[in-house]
Amino acid sequence: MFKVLKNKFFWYIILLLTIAFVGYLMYLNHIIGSRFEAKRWNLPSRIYSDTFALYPGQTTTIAELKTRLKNLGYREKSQSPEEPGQFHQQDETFEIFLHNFDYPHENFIGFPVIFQIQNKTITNLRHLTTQESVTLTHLEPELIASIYDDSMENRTFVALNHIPRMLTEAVILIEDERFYTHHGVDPIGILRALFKNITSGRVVQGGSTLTQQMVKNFFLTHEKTLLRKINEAFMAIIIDFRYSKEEVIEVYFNEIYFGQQGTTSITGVQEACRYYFSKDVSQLTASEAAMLAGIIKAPGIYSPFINTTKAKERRDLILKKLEANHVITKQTYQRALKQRLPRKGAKTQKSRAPYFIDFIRKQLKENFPASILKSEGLRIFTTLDMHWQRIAEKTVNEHLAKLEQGRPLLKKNKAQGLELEGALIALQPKTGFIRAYVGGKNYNSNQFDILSQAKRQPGSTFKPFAYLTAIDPEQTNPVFTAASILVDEPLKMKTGAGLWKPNNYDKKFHGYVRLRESLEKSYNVATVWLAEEIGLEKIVATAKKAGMNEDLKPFPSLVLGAFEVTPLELAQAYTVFPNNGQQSKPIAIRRVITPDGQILEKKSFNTKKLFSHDAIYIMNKLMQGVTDHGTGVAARAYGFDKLAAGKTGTTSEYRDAWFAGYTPDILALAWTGYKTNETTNLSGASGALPLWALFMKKVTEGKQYRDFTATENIVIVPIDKKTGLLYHRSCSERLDEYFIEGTQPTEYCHK
Amino acid sequence: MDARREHEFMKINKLIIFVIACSLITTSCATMGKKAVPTKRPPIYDKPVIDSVETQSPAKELLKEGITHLKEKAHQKAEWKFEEAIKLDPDYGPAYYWLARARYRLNQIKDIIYLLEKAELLLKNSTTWIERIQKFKDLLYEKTGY
Repeated sequence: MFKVLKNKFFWYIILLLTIAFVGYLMYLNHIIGSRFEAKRWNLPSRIYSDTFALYPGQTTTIAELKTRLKNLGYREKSQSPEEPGQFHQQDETFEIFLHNFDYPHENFIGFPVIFQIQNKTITNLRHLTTQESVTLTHLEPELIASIYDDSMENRTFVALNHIPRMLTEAVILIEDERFYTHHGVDPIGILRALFKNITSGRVVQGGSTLTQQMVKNFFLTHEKTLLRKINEAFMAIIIDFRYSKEEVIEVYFNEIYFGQQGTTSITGVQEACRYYFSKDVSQLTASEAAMLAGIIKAPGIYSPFINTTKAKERRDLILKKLEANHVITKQTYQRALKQRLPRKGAKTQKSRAPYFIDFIRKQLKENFPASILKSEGLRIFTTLDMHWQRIAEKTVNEHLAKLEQGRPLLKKNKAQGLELEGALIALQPKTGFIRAYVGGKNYNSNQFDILSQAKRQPGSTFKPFAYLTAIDPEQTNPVFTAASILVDEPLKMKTGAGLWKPNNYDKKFHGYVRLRESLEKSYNVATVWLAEEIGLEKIVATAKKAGMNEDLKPFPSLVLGAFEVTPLELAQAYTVFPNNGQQSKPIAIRRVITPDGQILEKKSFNTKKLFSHDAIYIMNKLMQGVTDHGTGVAARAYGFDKLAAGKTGTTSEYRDAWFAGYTPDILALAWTGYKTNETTNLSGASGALPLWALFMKKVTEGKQYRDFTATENIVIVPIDKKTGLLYHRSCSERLDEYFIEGTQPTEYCHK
Repeated sequence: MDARREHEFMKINKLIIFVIACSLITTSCATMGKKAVPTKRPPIYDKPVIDSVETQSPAKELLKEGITHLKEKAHQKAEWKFEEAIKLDPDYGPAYYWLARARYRLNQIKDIIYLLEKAELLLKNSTTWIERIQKFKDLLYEKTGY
């Protein structure tokens, strides 16, 4: 024995082993220091929809509101809501306990409200408890999508001071009772577990402390090897030596796995609360805290969504421990035992708005590298109204299916694998906020976004810009009016490509027609005649001013929309009409916010005056005629009865069917066609207008009648329908027409 | 003889008066027909300036909150509130004015002139507001050249 001790070689080995061991500990210490202190997780960025305002006068229906609530994870109760995320509805009365939400500039604390929906309008909005009237509050935005890294972990960091003590105690009591007394590793716990496992002949208890569990999740893998176990134990000891128990448990709560939702894992206590209870961790009840603590051991077994009985047994066990340790009172214990476990929310129509998300991601990529989006936990607030989005997606799909069933050519094409496509965008024209965005029929089979990527000919939807040029005294002199007579007779024009003879959709010529009639019936020949009269250069200037930045050339076919534009550009151009001559650029993102509330990016709306309000008002009244008795009249047959204006468009060989239409408050543009440009035999009126009308009917339900804003320069003058001159009883038929004062006819009609 | 001549003279007089009267009536009728073009005007849907209305409105509520933030120099918060007010009621003129002021404080002066023009358009019936907007425009021009 002494010989060995006297052996130098022995001491060299001891020294080497000690150095290696110290090196090993230093290495572990370094790993811990670099990650633990930074508390670095890859937090996914989250994309949110817009809020829904609740205020007296807001229009909504009982069905709409219930859908909105269910999509936000609110649970319907048979009595008044007692906690955030619950609602109760009886007849026209709603009681909602609003969720907490961290808005871009406000930390909103949920409170219970009560109101009625009478005549599709919210009335009598009050605080449920205090009965004080409430002027305005919101339903929080809906999470549309998260941008994950490869681990696909859904996680939101939460600080320990936001986690209720009840939950902390519940987890400690069930997972590691001696947490506050051991030093990272608990030999007594290990021995006890060993004894229990031997006596029962199988593994019934683990000996890992919370610190060890945290180390395993945070630093190591889940493989069951001796080396991993050794690393885990030493790291736990180092952590316990270096950091406080509070710091350890904070990381634990943000790291622990709580189950699986599809391909994404629910990680951390905040996400678990959202997943199981649709609420914030700070709002947990005793029963919920106990249930969450119970899940940790094996989410695949103790999740209430998987096994209610086992989840309940474990919850009750934890509640008993909480009561025995005086964390909760006997009354709370009794009440908690009676509380039902959460059930998976009612199935609602889910939407990820995939084309919109792609559109957003493209914009974000311009300013943020993909790695930041996947790791920094950014919150992206958008303008989308998820209720409208769901309506838009459903309407597009149903309408296209109906067309493909009812029309022989489309049916045949579908059978051969050629799918008819559709797109729809809706904007709030005065701000440019995109409210619904459907870039195609099926994102899974085709990610090409028609709205922002497809360059298509606009056809007759371009005509209003030619007419606007004609009736605007600031652009054309002598100015045309709604009553001016245009010539719709065979026309031959020399172009670079030879002789061009425009024709009308009905293959007829209509002689002398009033300007209004020409636009309402979408006469091509009269429009070309008008364009020649006013000058094509002026129309090109108007189009460019409106934002159609294509390389437009003053060819006569330009006024019939023979150039290319994306539907998004066309929608932007159309905002000048409901916006009284001002243009709003489409906005999808409003704010990008870091987890600590810093604004990284904001897109603020702006509005720029482009055209005279007087001329725009006349255009609105002309295009109102399109939907009232022109090519867009079928909108009424689909049940859309609100005041609206718009224009149909059909391109040559029926490749594109368009309808761009608006009320003073909503602008929507619909398109149908084949991505590959085949003929559809659909006109704007049969292909796109029904889609527009069905969508508008649903989103304007309950909205009040509103007319376009006139100016003091507008006069209504009776004219003769045939000649467009001032009406006299001896003439054909009287018609009241809108004019910019001073441009109305001065001559009377002659019999 | 004198009586007969007098009678004839009377008859001619009556005839002349009749002809004059007729021509007067016809010309006046014709003139009336030409001048009286029954011109109407469409109703102008101008909203009253909500500041002068007692009733609460959600946009006004947001505006008040925004002004409070602005006073506290919380300019970002104020900007958000004014944008929210416009989103709820895009025809609420004061919100455009205050949004312009918030952006001015945030040094985002590039396009605020358009917001002021929009406010001017929506508040054209209020001399107080027009003066207020003009004052701010002058200040903007003085400080920035916009």
